[in-house]
Amino acid sequence: MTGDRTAGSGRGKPAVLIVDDEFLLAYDLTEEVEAAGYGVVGPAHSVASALDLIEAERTDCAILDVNLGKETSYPIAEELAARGIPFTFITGYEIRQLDASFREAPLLCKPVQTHALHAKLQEMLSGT
Amino acid sequence: MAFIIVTHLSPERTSLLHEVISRYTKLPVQVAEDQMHLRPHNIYVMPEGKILTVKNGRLTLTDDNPAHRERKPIDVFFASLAADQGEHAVGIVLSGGDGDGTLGIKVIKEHGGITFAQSADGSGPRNPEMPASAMASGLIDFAVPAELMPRYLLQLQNGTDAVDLPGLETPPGKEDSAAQRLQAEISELLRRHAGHDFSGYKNKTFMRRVARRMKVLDLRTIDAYVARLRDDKAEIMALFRDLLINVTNFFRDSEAFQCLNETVIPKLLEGRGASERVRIWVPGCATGEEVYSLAILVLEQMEDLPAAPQVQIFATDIDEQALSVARAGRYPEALLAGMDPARRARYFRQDGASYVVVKEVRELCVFSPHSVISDPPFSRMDLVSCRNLLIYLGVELQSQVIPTFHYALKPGGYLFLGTSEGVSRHTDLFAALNKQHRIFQSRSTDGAPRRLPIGLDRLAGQHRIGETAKRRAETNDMRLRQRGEAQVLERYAPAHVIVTSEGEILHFSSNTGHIMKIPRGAPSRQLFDLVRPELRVELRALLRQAMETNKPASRQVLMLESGDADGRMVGLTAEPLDGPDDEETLYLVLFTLLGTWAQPASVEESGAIEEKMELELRDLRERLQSTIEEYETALEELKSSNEELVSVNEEAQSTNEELEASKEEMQSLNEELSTINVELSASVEDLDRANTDLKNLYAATRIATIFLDEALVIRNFTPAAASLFNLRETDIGRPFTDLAGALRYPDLQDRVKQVYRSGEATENKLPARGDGTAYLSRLMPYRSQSGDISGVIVTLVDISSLAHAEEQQKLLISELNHRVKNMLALVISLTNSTHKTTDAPDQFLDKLLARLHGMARAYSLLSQSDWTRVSLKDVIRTEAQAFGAERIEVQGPDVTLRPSQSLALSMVIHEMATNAVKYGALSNDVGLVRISWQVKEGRLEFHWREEGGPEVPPLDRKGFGLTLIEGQLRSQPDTEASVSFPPEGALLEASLPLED
Repeated sequence: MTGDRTAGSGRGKPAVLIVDDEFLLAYDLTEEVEAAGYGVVGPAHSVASALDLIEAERTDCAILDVNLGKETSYPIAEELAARGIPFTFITGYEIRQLDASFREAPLLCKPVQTHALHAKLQEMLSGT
Repeated sequence: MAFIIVTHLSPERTSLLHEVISRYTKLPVQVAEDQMHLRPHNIYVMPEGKILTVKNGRLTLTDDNPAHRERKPIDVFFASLAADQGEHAVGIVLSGGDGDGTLGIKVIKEHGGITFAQSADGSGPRNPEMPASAMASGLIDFAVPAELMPRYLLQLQNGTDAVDLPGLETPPGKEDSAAQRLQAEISELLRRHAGHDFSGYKNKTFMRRVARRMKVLDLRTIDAYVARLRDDKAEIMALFRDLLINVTNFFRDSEAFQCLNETVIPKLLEGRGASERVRIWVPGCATGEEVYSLAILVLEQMEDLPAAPQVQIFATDIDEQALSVARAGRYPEALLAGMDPARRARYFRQDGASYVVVKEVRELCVFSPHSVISDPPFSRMDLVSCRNLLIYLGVELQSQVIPTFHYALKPGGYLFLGTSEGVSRHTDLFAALNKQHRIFQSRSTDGAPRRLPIGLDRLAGQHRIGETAKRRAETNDMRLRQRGEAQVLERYAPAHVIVTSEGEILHFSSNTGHIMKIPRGAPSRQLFDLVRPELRVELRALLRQAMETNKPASRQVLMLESGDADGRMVGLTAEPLDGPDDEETLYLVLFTLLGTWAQPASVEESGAIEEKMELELRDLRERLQSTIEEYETALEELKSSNEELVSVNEEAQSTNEELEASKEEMQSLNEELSTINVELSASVEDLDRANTDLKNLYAATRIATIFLDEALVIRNFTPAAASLFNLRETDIGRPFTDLAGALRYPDLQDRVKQVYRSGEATENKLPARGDGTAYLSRLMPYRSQSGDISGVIVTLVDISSLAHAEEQQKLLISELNHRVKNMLALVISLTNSTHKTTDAPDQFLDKLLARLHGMARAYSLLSQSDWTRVSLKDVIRTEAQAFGAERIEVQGPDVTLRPSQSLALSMVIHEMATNAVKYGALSNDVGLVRISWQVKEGRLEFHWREEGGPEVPPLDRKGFGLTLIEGQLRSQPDTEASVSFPPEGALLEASLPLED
């Protein structure tokens, strides 16, 4: 597991941006993504830090928690969409409670099951 | 006795009268049914919507015509009862509106029945019009309060056969002397108080009426009755009325009328132009049946003529009440029974079960009070119809009345009498035209002037009734005397004439030839036209003198014979003729020949003077003559104006009668209307109350309701609707679709139309408006009483709070979902992370449970504060207690944290405390943890310091605990945190933003 993490910052692996305000969730997600053999960007806990990361580092796809405390991750999604980077929302809300413009976006429901996460990651990355 | 109760009932309302009555009596009470036999000691009540009559002791019910309801059901019933039961009928008029019952009472009385009316006492009648009208007719035998009626009814029942009176059983043709005396005695009383003489009435008829009065008064002997008459003037009047009652009917004795119709009436109308008049007199017309019968006959024939003359029928009676009934011309069907249906349809208008004479018949008739016996008769009549009046008069009165008729008729006029009547010995005045039907023609009396019949002075003169027999004896003596006197007058009396004050000659004596000279031109009876010219001036002066002084006046005049120089002196005397005071004074003018007037001896000198004087005299006479002619012309003009005035007067009189008749109609209409008005105002009061209730209900419900009619126009609305749609009173009557308020819900209008078409109620929510108010609209069809849809009721219920609550609930549920999912994710992550960083399985479980319990404590703290802000001290205290609070020192000001901050911090403290217990200050017995914080520039500076613990080994930087502590804090926005392990003990420094 420690090995995985070191490899996570490796250059050749696809980089996955993780955004979640809940530390434990972000941490666990990071572990999962790295265990699946991807590199992790972040995890970021706010819109501002996420946007900084997108600017600073290579990002191939992203997993966004919709609700970030007082803010939502929609601005991040917009930025990603503008850059043509695929992303997936994860949320405890129903799909209809999402902002209208992102209702077509791919979505994972909390709590996320590992195989569903894997499938989603592959789907995002095969698209690019 | 059986009782039948007839009331004015509304046909729409079911009458419960029989039930009400049965509560008050032991007698069986039943609702009348058709063909029900009347049985003694039973009470029958008229049902609503029917007309009740009696025939052959059975009740008869006929349907009332709803369009023309019978206004006089009581008259109709009484008429049938009288015809059926005769003397056994008793009519009782109780409380009620209108004059119903009055005519019926008359019919009962005509048939010898007894009549009652309820008089006013303390408790009734509530509606006195009906009994008052019956009493005013004078036909009521008992005007008593209702409580006294049973006593009188029993008295009548017991007294029916008890009256013993002479004269009742006398066979026709004979006379009972005791009865005669009684009649004379009673008649005398009557004459003195009522001014009408009944001594000539038929004894049997008279006594029957007396017996009836005795029955009413419960007197068993005639002496008691006569004594009563002497004391009681009211009883005299009652008897007087009873004696006047007579039975009349339309076309009574139809063959006689048929004969009259064929023989007399055509002649009356024959050869008369439209401007001429036919005058008919019906004396003793009673309630007018005979009058209208005649009028109908005349009218029938007039209709066939191109230019019919004007016909006037004068109908007279001394009974004013009877006249007022006649004027109204309204009769129950029973009275029209024998009439040809076609005739009835043509000349009567049905009004309920009664019939009213049509206007054109009524207009021919003039009704006025008049006594054929004591008032001066009418004159210049073409027909006098007097049927069934003479039978009530004795021989004396009859032979007085017949000449009166003769006087009234034009020469050749007709007299029509009743079947049992005749002109008796006056065959010199009338020739029988049809003996069987009693039609006579007036004879012209052989040149003798018509005389006013003698005997008009009966009441004014000195006669006493008791003298009748004596006078009869004197009559024979008188005849001889008259014959003698006639002869003396013929031969020896001076020529004379009887003239009126206008100089019209009524009678010539013999030997007037040399005084009179027939003038040229139309025949005249004017004295001043007929008498020789040289007498005229003097005669006129004399007559005036006699008129003014009322004494005889005489003068001598020279009358010149034509062709003779000598004249004859004539003595002229004019004097009033003795006669009754109240009549027109007539004058007797006598012409006495006084011999020739000799020419004075011839004296020369006087000759010239005389000749001169002669000329002068002739001049003067001529002048006088022309003056006289002028005067006469003026007189003629006056006369014609007078005639015009008379005719105008007659017209005015008939107009007056019409007015009176219509006034009566108006009155009865008015009474009806006022009854209806009372009912109406009661209903209006009820309505008002119901309306107020409704208004209050509308206001109380606070539900917006609008009533729409068929055209979806606003009929009414509640106050709540007024504020919702901005409605005003003036909007009532405007189409719903025009409303600005309604325009906000275009869908509502469509649905309103839909509901009106389909008749099915609908209910749905209206979209919420800007101010957050939401409404539930409920549309119901408005159903009229018949069940038709006559509009729509729009109801809007404010459901804003409900909608708001619903919204809130949805929000809460989704938040709950979110949190639960989040929490599960968190637990899963925690489990995952704990598992990955723990090698021993038993340690894993302890660690996980401790962490979960720490989280649970933090959440329970949050839930205690309803997820608002949480005190930092509470967070620390809760966590510290789990690890032994006495060795954890806490110092800092009161600060509150956001939920996420407090959760993060409590997890951090948990991890720190766990670490301290395991490796740090709390792992030995003396170590101490100091927790302290300050607030600097809106930030919380938080410190965890450990002292007195064993030397801290350098911590694995990548251990999950440390990662968790720093990660938790750093993942909070704008938060710094660092953990270090200097040798003296672990140190945590964190800086968090505080909410302003």
